[in-house]
Amino acid sequence: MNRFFYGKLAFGNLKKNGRLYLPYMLAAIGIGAMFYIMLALTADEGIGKMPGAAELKMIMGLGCGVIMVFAVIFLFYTNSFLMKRRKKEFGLFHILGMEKRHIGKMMFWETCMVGFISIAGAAAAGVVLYKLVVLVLLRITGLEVPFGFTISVSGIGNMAICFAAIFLATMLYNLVQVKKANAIELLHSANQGEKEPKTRWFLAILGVLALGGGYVIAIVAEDPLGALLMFFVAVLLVILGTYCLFTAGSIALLKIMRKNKTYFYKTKHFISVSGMIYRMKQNAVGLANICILSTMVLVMVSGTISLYLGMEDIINTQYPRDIAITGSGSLTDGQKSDLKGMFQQAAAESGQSVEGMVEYTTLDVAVWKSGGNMVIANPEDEQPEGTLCVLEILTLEEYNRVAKEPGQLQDDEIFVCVRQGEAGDTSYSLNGKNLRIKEYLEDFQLEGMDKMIIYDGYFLVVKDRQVMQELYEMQKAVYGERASVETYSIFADLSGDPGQMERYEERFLGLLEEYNQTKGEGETIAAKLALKDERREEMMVFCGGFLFLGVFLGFVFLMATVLIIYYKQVSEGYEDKGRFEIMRKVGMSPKEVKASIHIQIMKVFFLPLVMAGVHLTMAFPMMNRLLMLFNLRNPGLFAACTVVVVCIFAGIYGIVFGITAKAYYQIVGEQR
Amino acid sequence: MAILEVNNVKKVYTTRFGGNQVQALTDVSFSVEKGEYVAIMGESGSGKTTLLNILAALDKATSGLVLLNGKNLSTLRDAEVSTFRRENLGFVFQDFNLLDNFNIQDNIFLPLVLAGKNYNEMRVRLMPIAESLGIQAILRKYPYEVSGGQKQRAAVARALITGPQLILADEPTGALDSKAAESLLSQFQEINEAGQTILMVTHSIKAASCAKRVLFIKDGQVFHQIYKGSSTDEEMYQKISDTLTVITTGGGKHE
Repeated sequence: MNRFFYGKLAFGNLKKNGRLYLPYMLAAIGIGAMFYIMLALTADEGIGKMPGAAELKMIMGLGCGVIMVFAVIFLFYTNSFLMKRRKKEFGLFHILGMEKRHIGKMMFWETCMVGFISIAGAAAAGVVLYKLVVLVLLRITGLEVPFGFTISVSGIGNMAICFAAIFLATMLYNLVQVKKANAIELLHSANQGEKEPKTRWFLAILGVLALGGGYVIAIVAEDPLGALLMFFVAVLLVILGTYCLFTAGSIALLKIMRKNKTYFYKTKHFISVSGMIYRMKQNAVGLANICILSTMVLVMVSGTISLYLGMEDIINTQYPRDIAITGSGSLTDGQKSDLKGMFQQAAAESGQSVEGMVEYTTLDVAVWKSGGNMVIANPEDEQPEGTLCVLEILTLEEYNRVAKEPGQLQDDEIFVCVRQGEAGDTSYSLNGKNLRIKEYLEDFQLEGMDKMIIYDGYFLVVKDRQVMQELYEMQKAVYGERASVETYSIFADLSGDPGQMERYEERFLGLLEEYNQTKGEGETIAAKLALKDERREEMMVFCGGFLFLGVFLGFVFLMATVLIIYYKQVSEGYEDKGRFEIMRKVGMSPKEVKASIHIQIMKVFFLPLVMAGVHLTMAFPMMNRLLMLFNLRNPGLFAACTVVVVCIFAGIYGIVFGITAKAYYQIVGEQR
Repeated sequence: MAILEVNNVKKVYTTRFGGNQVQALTDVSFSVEKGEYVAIMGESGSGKTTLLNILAALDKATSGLVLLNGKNLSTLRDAEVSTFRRENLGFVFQDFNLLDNFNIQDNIFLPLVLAGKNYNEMRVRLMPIAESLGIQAILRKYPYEVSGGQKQRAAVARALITGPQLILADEPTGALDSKAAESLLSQFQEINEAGQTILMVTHSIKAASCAKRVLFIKDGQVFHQIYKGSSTDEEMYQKISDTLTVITTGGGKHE
């Protein structure tokens, strides 16, 4: 009987507070469903059998972790909103004679119901959506696996356990809250006279500095590998700055606005500025959250989309032709022609013709460059000055073979082609060896040699193999085991279809093995074969996986953003209701009331979006360099992706805002 | 000349589902001359608040006529109502109705800001009012930092600052302690002596005894009225309390 009573009471409470609980449960269902989908993907046997599955699973595992952490933070955050609104109700129950343990019992039932509905809903939604998600995933990764309609029991189990634990934790937190408070406090907690927030100049200035610092790092940091580390520093600074600025900076700014008498005492500023001073106190953290979440969504989604769309670019820079064969070590001319012969033989035997074949012998040397002074040094022993860059060295003979106009060089002369870095030096001094720059080459292409210019890169044309050998010895002395060796590369297109390509690969590797068996120690060829199509498939799994994760997490964050906005509107609606009632009595028309509400909430809710836009703009150069790590060098594409993503996001944000603003007006407009 | 004329005002509320009709005001007629200080008394449920809402243009009469300064309130268009109220009426409420996010000065300025006045003009208007009400020292404070009496004086200043034709006060002493109530009432008398017309709704005899005329409302009708004439506050208090005794014990018309 008693149990029945509390259950009924709890159900009634949830129904009565539907405006608060429905979005909460919907969000829990959404996050739960996404969590289940991630878990199920990681456990899926079909995916486990696919090539590239290991990477995909790692990416998905990452996603699981992020969603999990996020679910905890997020459900706690919204729960605290709910509690704040319901304290008065609990106070009333208390005064009507319910003891705290009775309230506890009631809350227990409420949590059970909310938890059960959420978890069951999440499982159902997850199972239904899973198939769709898998189809999308397969589409964007280009993988082909027959899929049945599978339900991951362990996925549902894990999801249910995690969420049950979270709901239990929120309930314990709520119980402690109720236990600590007394009835009078509970009754009045909603309308305590609130003090005007103080201006915290220190925090405001700290915020400006942190934000500025983060921006400067994002714009200035040159070295792309260092960029990865600096990226995190910049992100942390920007997050810190955002929180400080939203909490302290906003209030400082509003107070300055209030000091300006002619500005402040205008109808629309008067009400919105002073309203916002109060609003910012309670909502600054929430708004900062929205801002940071939005930035994350935008960065993640636009980054992964450009990576996915730019994939072809990446492949083409690394593999300009269908086939790339690289032989490493100082190969003799004889060995080179043997290798070339094997390549052609394999092509012929697989029934294909060879087109557009190019070959070069190059040596790359890593140096620390500061002006014309270059040092080959082991950074473990000393920290040399300057920036790290890679010299791609080839001989004049090679150069003349590919260049439009042949050139002439003296022993100590070089041609330089700047791939990425600075031009303008007249000579280089390389560990003391002087090399005069005869000419800077403008349009010189070495197909496939642009591969990993994460660092600055220069092509150096030296007179002959003797000079090249000298440079090789020089770096061998410093780097020892890890010194780079000459590379002989062949790039070519083949005419065949995928089946022929496969036969080709088999044949070539067979020939190479045979060749190496007939030769003695020291005469073997160490060579690698890379097929563009294979690389493309791998790349697609990799980039597609990232894109999937980016969009997927983007959805989770977007959902969170939406919910935070909704709760803000609703809770503010309740608070502002009384205020606007007074203004109406004092002589403000309903129309004016509505207009000033509108201005105020517009300002408050579009502030995070604008700020996120600024963050994104500032992060652009750094994001670009990070994408370079993945070999994507296409700022135009990235910019376009970013703009499109921002527009879509702003659209969704606007729609959500519209819907929730309506809820707000309803609350404010309710008569008594 | 009458600043406010109320002729045969009737107000009928229909309950939410259209079932029962409740007659809040049956037939109310009276008028207020310029410079008068009128108190309206009546028990809970007698229709006082309904009447005040109609006078404040917050509500409309079912039938009858309300003329403020010759202007018929029921013919005002919705868009004009707020401006009209802002320009012609000042309000003092039982629970002050100050906004907690403005300091006292800004609360007082609120109607002027809504009317689009500039800051200097507002300052000029505020100074004499603040001085006469003795609130200069608290202008920079926030409502939660000052006492109930001070809040109510701030609310009076807010009502006065627009220079309204008529001040409508709804139980202004209801939330004050006796000392604060007494000082507020004497301020009302001073304001009235300076020429301000005041209409106050109350059920405190003490408050009503400060007025120059007291109207009694019972069952939605003006039941009786007393002029103070040259009587002192104490004599007036006695008269009012006698009248109330007669009304509550159910006597007929008493004169």
